[in-house]
Amino acid sequence: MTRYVVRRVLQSIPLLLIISFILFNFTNALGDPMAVYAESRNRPSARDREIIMRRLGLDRPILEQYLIWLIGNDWMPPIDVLGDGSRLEQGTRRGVLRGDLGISFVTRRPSWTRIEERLPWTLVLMIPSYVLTVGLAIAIGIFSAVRQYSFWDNVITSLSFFFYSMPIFFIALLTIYIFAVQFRRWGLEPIKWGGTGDGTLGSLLQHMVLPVFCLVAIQLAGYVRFIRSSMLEVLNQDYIRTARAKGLAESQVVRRHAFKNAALPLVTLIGLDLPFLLAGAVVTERIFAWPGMGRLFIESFERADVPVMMAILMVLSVAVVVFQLLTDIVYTWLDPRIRYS
Amino acid sequence: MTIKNRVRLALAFALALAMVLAGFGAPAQAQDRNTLVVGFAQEPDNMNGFYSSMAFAQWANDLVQASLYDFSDDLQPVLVLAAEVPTRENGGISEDFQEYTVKLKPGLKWSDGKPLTAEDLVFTYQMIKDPANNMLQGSSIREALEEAEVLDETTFRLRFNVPKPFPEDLIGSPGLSTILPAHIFRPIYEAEGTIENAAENQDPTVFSGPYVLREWRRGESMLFEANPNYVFGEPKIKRVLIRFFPDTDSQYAALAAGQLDFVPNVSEGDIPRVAASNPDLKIVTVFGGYIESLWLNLRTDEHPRAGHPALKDVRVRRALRLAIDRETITRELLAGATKPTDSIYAGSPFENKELGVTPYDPEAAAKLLDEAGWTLGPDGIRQKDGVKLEMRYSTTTAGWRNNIQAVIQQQLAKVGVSVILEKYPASEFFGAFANRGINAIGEYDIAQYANNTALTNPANVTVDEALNCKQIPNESNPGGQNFTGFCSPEMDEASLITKTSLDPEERLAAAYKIQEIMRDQVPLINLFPRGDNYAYNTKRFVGEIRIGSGVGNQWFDIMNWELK
Amino acid sequence: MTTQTDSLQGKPAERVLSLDPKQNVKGVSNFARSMRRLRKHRMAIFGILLLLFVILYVVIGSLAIPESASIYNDPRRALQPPSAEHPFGTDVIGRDILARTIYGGQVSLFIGVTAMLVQILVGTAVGLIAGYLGGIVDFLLMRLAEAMLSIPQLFLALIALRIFSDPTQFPDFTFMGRRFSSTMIVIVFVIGLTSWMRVSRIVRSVVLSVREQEYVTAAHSIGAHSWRIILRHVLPNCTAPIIVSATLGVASAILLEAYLGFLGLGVRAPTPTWGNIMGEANSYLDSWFYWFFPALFIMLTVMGINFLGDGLRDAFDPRSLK
Repeated sequence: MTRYVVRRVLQSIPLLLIISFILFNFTNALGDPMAVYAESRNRPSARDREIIMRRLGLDRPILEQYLIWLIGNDWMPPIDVLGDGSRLEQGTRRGVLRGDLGISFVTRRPSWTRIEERLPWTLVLMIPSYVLTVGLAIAIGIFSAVRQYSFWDNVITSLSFFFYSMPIFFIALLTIYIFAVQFRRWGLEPIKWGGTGDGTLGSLLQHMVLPVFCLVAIQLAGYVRFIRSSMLEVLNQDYIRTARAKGLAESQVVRRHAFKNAALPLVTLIGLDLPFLLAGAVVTERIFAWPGMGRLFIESFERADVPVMMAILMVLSVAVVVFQLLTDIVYTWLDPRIRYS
Repeated sequence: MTIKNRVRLALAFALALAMVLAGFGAPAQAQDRNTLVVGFAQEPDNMNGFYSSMAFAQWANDLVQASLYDFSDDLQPVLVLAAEVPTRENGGISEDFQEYTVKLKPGLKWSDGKPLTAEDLVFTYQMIKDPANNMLQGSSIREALEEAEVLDETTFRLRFNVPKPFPEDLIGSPGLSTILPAHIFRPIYEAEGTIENAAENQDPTVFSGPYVLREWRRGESMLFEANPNYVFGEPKIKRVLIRFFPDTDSQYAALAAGQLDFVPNVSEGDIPRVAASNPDLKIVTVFGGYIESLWLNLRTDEHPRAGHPALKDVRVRRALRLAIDRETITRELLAGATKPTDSIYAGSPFENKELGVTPYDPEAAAKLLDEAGWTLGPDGIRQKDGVKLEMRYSTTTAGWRNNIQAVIQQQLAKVGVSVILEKYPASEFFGAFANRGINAIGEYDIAQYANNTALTNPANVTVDEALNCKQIPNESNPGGQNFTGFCSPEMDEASLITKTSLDPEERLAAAYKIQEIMRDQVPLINLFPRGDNYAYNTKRFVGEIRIGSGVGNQWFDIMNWELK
Repeated sequence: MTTQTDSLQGKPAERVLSLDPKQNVKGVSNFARSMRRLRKHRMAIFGILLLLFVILYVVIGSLAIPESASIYNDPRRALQPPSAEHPFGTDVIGRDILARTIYGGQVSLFIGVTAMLVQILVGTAVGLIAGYLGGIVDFLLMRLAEAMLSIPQLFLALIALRIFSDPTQFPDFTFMGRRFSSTMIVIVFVIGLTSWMRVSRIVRSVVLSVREQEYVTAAHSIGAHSWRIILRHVLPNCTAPIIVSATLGVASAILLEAYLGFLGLGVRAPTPTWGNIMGEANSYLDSWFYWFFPALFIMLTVMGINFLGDGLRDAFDPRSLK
């Protein structure tokens, strides 16, 4: 087992290196970050811009920039900021491998602080939505599977299809329109949305109602369908028939035998979906003006803020790799039939 | 992770278990009349104005800094720390314009009670001059200043290496908006040889302006308190709270919900919806030297790219200007917040009002085009000698600009001019020549964007850099800023006069001449002046508030603002 | 396996079918049997009807209303609610929204279908190569797939789109008298090249299972070409899951395009798509007609595809009970 884990970890390292190299090339091709100053009143003079570019290493070949990103430049010979050898400055970057995710081009503070500011907000939105989704999906999915072809099953299946096909912005804009705009017109107290409230818990909860509702609505459908089909597959197995023949109560059959086996694929699914919670929900965040990771990525993207973009992408990639490994381990632990040699 | 963020995480988990559709009717914090709540869409990166290029950093800095003299909303000088604006008449500026003698008001104090004297000013200028400080701002002072010396406690002298007729660029708020407290920075400078890494830059403790920074919660807010030692006395509003928002959408949402009193950065495209979001809001545009224009590619060299041949004919350029209905654009797309103009000096005291604005006249445009030999083809597009009058019209990807593009495209189509719309992200559009920036290498025929220039004196940076014969970029001159390729020796001469002449009448006449030449030769078609757009909640303020131009200090009048 | 989430990593949950090649030796008639089953599937029929409705709307609409109607703008008549003259209202610069949904629909549907084709072609090719050649090639290709799955598709698409959309290198083009932004073609490839992974896995597993069969060794021994084996044994077994995957691939491509357009980072204006019309509408929520109609069409299309896809899956599944 340990050997398997070690092997997987070792396998992930070249994977992450390749991912990071490809992403680094892509993000650097996004344009000249200095150009966003062009229309501002306080733009640094042309000479000062050159100095900034040399300090950031933007005039070096891409491979060198990647290496600096990876292992820093504080051990390298000093940078010639004026191009003529008259002023040398020692580099201060330690590189990603030593934990330095770089300095944001836009805010001039460490990239990690940008992520740190936004990540909790993303989690505040995504975790409750996800927990609600999975919880409700299990309940509804089992209910539906156990009563296959019944009236309720048909209703649930149709509704899942309906919500499954609904694009997130449709439901988001509809709910905003009804609960905020129209409520005001009808004289009712509109639900507050947009942003995260004024700092009080009550206000935060109220601002969360609509976005969480939308996220749950579309995620729920997919999970319900998955659990339902998973349960149906299990319920048709021979050992379930045996259990029933043995005289076990139906609820016991469902709980002890059926669901436990159906849960295995669910674990895999959750394991694969969890890291993507970190990425936030870009469109939802935009509509509800929620200050999350998704928006951070879009903002950095629009300003060609390469260090922050790379930081976000690497955090995500590492999370995905880690969660995949965790999922495999949990799966092995849960399913005694599988053994990794 | 900070404790605060850890608490937020724990909260998320707790919420997950106890999530209920609750929270209705939670009372919002009552607004109090002693705290002005301002919304920023970006957090300042530095509290030392010399080390930031961010507009938001400048706004935050201006709240705690006092300059020597400032400019009001109608661009009139306002004395802050200086006793008078130096001129030749009062002896403040020497005959040869190379020496300034500046007098401070007596009895000035820093927020910590220490006296603010000529020594602080001279120290500041010396810091600007020293390249070891790596300042991002102040380059024009750095290049021109020879020496600075203290004459007495309230008087100092500056000596420049060339004649400098315009004091505001060097001692007024456009040029010098931050004064460093010598008693804080000198020890650091003497110990380290530079003030670049001083902790005071990020966590300042001593201030000269109407407010002092009391608390900076990174990622959240900045709290300021009134400074009793301010030269004009303690401001009426006791506290200012600047809240940071991750973007303009959440900022506008808070403004509409009444949580913010003042927002300094409403962009053109957002004016209509901000105005509509809450009837108590008022939007003020203070003209600040940006003129949104259509810049025409008049370059001839093929390398990089020459513009459409039709643009070489001045009649075609004039026709284009006649064919665009700028009035409709400003009225419908910008909620009438601004008006069309033909002058690069629009909104300033140097505007040549006699010239007026070219009216919208598509028939005259059509006639001019016919005259120039561009006749209507069978497909409705004009052509001449087999070449179609089809041009590339480029701008950034900002939504409001794209809307203007679509409208102008249709207006031009009416007179037989076809344009292809192109949009680029800012980093490509404004990129340097070496990076194949679109404007720099001439990959356009018509480019829409705004120049930016201070309008406090007739010397106009735009004319000097972006329209100067010597500034046309090419392989040997990659830093050139004249992307249109326009060259008029006559205008260059007039521009030189505005920069160097020692006679204000002569300078004004030269500025008028420049506007005449541009009106006549049309190197660019001005659309409308853009300024800084501010939104504030009228319910919160007593009376109207005066907001300064972004050229100087927007908060020039903040000590007189009053909340209900 | 993932389900639809906002970050768009997921495609609809799929069951991996048990593919016993022996069952499909009779190839064609099995297919016919599946089609018959499909016709009886109520939801699938409903899905087909929905799709037909959307397609007819787009086709007949463009015959009835000229493209110029979707371009003509009049800022004085901006944001007007639905009326006789403009049944769906007007947008922020006064363009007719009905016309824009018709022509935008053409673009959105085109992108959906062609992106799916790219996805299928690339995925099948990669799956075949990986499964057949095995060894280091297989290893690298599967690692590449893993790498690409680790990054949210939306992020990848954004970056790739920006890089390949420089109008000076990828200029707008004219087709049948209409002008289109080159980003339309770029987006097709970007979506296709970021969604091939699932298909390649399916194809690869089929190849691997077929390879083990004895008749393959037998075929080899009598000198049969690898291509023949692929054509006669591998591909027919892949058809069913590929068809299902393709159908659902169209839906996810349309959604991805819509999300990109909504963010203003997809197909560049003035080429309309359902997505970028919604993006403009996000600033004018009070004008419900601005966003409602494009969103409705997206939903109808995706719903139709999902119903049809589900029906196809059930029809092809040899274990289906109904």
